[in-house]
Amino acid sequence: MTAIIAQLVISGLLLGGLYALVAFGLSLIYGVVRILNFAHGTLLAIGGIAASIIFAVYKLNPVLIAVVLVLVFLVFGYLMHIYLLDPLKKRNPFEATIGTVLVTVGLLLIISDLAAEIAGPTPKNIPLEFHAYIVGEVIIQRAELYILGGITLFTIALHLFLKKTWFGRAIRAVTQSPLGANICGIRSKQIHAQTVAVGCGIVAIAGVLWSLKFPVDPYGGFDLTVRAFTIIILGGIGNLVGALLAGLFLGLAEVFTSFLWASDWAPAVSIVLLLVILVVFPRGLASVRK
Amino acid sequence: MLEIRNLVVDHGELRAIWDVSLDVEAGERVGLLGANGAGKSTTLGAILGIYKASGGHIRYKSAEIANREAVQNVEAGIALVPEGRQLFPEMKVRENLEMGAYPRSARGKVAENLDRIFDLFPILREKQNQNANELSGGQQQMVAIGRALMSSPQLLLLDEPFLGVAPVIIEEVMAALNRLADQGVTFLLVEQNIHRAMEFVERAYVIENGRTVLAGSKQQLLGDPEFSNKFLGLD
Repeated sequence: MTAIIAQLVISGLLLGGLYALVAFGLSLIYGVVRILNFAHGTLLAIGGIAASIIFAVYKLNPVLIAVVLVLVFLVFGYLMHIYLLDPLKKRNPFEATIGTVLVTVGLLLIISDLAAEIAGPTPKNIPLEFHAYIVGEVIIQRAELYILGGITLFTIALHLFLKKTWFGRAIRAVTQSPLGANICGIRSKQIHAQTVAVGCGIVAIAGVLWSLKFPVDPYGGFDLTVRAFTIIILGGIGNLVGALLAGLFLGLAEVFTSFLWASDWAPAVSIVLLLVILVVFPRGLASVRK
Repeated sequence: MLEIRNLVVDHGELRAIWDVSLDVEAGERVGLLGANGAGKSTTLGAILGIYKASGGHIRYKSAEIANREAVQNVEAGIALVPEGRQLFPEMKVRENLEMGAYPRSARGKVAENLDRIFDLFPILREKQNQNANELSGGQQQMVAIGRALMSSPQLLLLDEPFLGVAPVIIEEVMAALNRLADQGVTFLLVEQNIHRAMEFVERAYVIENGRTVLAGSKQQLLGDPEFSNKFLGLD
């Protein structure tokens, strides 16, 4: 029984860590630009599919694939902000909100269909050679270790970036007080575009890591976006540690729900959690901690 | 140092400033006084570049700065301590101060300016690793002033620095401001507490409904029956 629980915990941490990576990008973007990007999870799917195709064709090392995709997604995110999101800010608040939903949902539909048209509708992943380590009665695949290592390293790197660099601190400053940031001489418009770019770059890394273990479906991104929303509400906007803990919690909850009940019910966990939090703690769990 | 002529500022379709003119010479302490909503904070915001001027001129060291970006004005030596402080609540005190040195021209003097601010407000040295939202109102005001000083400004714009601050802390802040004035910093102070403001400034302008209506030295204003009636409650 202990071995089964340990196995479930590893799976939960793996899944939750990947969810947290998706939420990091979404949380940064929402914290700074105040825009809910409904296409965020779909960008992970596109990243995963692109990584699978590059691996199949060029047999490149996944780390190199991640570097290439991060650069592409950084440019995509920057242009997305300049041409799609920023013009909406000139509208009145109602039009801007509705416009944001329409633009990001429209983007989700277009890029999902494009990906399905180009790469085919079947789920894809990076088929690394199977290699497993056995510790007692627990089996750990090499791909799982890569993913856990990648999540850990990336989370530390992102934490240091936000705490120690001028750019990272500017992102936090704009999140916490846009006017205060302006007074300090931070160009908010520039930071907005750069933050959307960074958010998209993060989801590219999540896509590559995801495709090392799980097949990626061009139409599966929206479920991930919903999970990322849940994690942000659980962990607090712009709160990296909160998002990580919330992601791990959600991953563990889904894995244990699948084991104890049925795998069909796992996606419902995030929705139920979201509803409970919104009703019981309308300002998020981070506000309870304070 | 600073020359404003016939400034007009609109907030959307609402005109906040109709006609403000004022001068500040290097090393002076000048007050900008008036009732709530008169346009004092908007004037300071327009000087720093937060609000766009719809008309008129703002010249700093003879250069036209109306509608320049805030970052350019901070690099040129202007800093603002805003009303409500606008700190970064979940960043450490030290991080808040360091953000004041965000413009590239200020980054080389971070350690030197931090030391200067910790000398000015010793309590901030003790509290530097606490989040800004864990400080008292007075301590937060010290952080806001310290953050503005991190870019080594020559012109410091202060918006209601004594609002919500305990009297004992006001004395400490006032002493620090006097020390800065002795070091050659120029001040433009917005304050609704006229008695406090008149303790600090040498000259003042009075704004009403977005227009400059009165100007003079401290002695001239205190001797002006209109000023005394309106602001000091004296008949």
